[in-house]
Amino acid sequence: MKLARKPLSHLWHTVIMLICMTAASIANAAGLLTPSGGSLPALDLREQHVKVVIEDGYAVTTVEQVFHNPHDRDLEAIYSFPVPEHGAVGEFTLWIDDKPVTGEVLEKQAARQIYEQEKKAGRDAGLTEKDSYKTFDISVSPVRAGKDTRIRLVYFQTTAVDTGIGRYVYPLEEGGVDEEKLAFWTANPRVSGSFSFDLHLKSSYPVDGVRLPNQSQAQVTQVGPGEWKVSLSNQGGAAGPLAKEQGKQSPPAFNPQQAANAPAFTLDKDLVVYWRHKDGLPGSVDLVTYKPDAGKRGTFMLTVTPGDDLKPITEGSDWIFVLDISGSMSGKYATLADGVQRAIGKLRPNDRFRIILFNDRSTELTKGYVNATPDMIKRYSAEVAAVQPSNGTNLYSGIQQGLDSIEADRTSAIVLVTDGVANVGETAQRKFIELIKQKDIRLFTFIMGNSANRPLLEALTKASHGFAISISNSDDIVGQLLMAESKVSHQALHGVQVKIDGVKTADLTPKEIGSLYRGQQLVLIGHYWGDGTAKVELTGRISGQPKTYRTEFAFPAKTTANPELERLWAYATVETLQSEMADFGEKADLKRAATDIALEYSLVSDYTSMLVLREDQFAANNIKRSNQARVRIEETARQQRAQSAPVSHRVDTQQPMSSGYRPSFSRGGGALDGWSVLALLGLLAMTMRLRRQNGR
Amino acid sequence: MDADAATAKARGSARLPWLTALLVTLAALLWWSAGTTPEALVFDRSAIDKGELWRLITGHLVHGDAGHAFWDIGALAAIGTMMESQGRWRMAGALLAGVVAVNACLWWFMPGLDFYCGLSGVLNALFVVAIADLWKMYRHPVFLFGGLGLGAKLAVEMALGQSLFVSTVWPSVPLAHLAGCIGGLALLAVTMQCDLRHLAQ
Repeated sequence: MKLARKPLSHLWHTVIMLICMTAASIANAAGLLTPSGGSLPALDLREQHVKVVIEDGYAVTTVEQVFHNPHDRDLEAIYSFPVPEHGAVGEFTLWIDDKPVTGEVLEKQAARQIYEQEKKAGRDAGLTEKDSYKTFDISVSPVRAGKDTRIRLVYFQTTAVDTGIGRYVYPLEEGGVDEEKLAFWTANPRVSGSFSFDLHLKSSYPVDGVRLPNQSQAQVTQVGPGEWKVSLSNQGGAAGPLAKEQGKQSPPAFNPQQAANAPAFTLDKDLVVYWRHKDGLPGSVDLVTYKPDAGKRGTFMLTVTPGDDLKPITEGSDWIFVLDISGSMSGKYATLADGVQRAIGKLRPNDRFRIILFNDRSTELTKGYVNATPDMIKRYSAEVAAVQPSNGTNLYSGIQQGLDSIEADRTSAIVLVTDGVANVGETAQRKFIELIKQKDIRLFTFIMGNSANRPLLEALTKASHGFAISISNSDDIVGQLLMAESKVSHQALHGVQVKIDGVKTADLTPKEIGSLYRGQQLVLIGHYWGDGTAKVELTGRISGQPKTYRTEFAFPAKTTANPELERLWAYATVETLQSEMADFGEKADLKRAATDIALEYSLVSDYTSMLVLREDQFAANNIKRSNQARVRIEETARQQRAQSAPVSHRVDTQQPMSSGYRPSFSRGGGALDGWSVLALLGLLAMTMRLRRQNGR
Repeated sequence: MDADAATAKARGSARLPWLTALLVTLAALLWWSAGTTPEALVFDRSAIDKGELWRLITGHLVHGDAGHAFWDIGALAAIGTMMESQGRWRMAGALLAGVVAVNACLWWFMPGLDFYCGLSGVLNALFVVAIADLWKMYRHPVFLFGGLGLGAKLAVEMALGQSLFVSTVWPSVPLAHLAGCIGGLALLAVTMQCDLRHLAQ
């Protein structure tokens, strides 16, 4: 299938504008939860300090916060925040008697039971649970009357770079899709005392800019080649701990704004950080490993960044917009209608479009394909504007009608825009996958906010060989536009497979890679045994033609710098198992496997929770302190890494897998600097002087 | 009006850089009214391919951020003032040479670059012509150093793959600077050829 290129920059710009504007009205946030109705008094979130270290292809996020109980009786604190994209929670620490106590992972029900038992007994306890794809919920009991309680949470996630741009999101904004939860709880998102966000980026590839959209008070500082620090605080712009530590002047970067007096921080907007690799970098293969014992199994993360081998697409196409108009879109519909009007207005007359709306059921607005003539644009803009959003979300019906609209002899694509969950009609993931596989069509999905059913939407999109882009309200719209446009306007590498010979490897995740679009990296995590040179072959098809990339590099016998890889592998594997269960039902063996992996690697998952008790109660409940030992190893490794400059993990320097340069956003500016202009002014002054002297 | 008066008037007129003032005002107005990288005005390969040819001109007059606009427009004011006194048509010719050279470079030599904005490529053409004319007129070493400085700056930029001391929202394109220089040099070569023919006749 091929797609038209020419109108796409406008089209995607408009679509993404539409998505972002629609998402902008979502107002739910991370925060302390209190039952609605005033049955319990609210606690105070006094401090929140976030530290993020991004290096070696993954991010480690540490959130430390203090709850304060201003009342005269002990109370329970419940803090809820959106699940970070593929974020694996590996540490939950509660300060008990002023000493940090690290949690241990148990099966979900057992952990909740012990927590309730401790709570009832009045002993200190904490619990971190995962509410499917929606939130992580932290419960702490008791927060003593008039006292503070401090907790720390650490999570890991891979951080791929797309089209030369890295993106990290600290999720705070909830999607507002869980109506039952929203009705029961009231969230207090305000941090009454100090808030700080410090990010340390260490990249072995040169980074020429770091940016936080919509955070004008953030301080961005380059501290070395490929090494940047970002600091944000509600205590006055650059007053965050890292800024104090550095004490350096910020270069303009591409976030030059500075503000002196930032307002108190409210946890209602995601913090998004972008970093931009220098243009003209070669395609590359990077290998990060963890193998503390040479004789045992190791873990590796292989990152392939292809060169720019994918050519632009020029043929025309049909566009089917499938738009969510369920109740969660109420109050946003005027914006959506405006966005659709502008989107279809950007199509070429020889392109065609259909518009399908769905809530409890789907309806087609266009009654067949229409050309984007001024009359048609006017007519359907008015019709879209007249629709009243309401009811639930019958996603299946919307997609089904979109697929029914395809004409075999035309190039077609479905643009799905949704911020919610499938809760009406068919909701089983397996049925969605079967549906999308009925036709050879790409689905381009825009996942809005943090609470959409990301697992379902990602699985569905992957099955169609399309791509999904997550969009936060804090995202840079122009950046997201370029990202999407760059992908749909170029060929893609389909049916990607990786073969590793010479070193024994297993348990690779993802099991099925699918397609690689322009700018996307391939990140594979797996196990290996032994060491030595491996021959790596990546194969796929571009426009039906086979394409092969090859390289050779060595797997090391022993490495200790990146222990977090074990948990990254484990969490990715748990997610794969969960996806399989969503496809084929919650089979006991799959559930057991997911639970066992989460327990072995001490991860919070849908089946496991992390529990903190007083030290003596761990022993009393026969709970081994295995996570405590793992956390110590990880902390030691992080301390050692902190002492060193960014380490290059590129392994294909001798035999590059790809001969071309990495794709970039294909944009540039003709810019001069202040020094050149000063020199010009000097020349101008000299010219004037000479002119006066010579009388001409 | 006698011949001397007419010459004096012509010189006086040439010394008032109204073409420069016009261009500076236009670029500043575009920045003020259209803001950063206006979608309808930037060099957009697919839109130009579709027939939106005005982008071949307007792309050079719009900018990506405040710093980008400030320094580019400031440099236009300085170079334009230096150059326009040499002749308004000379300056117009240099502008045209710069625009053609940079557009040709972007279109044929950078097919992967879909979007571009900014004046600096064209300014390099202006600068090359201005510095050559001023050297020819005054033979002052400062202009020689100016030319050598530009050459050194371009060499470093090409070696590094990015412009010096520049940090803009859209990454800098050193090749556009080189193209501007080549456009300026081409104009110098053509006019020198014409001058030689004129002298020969």
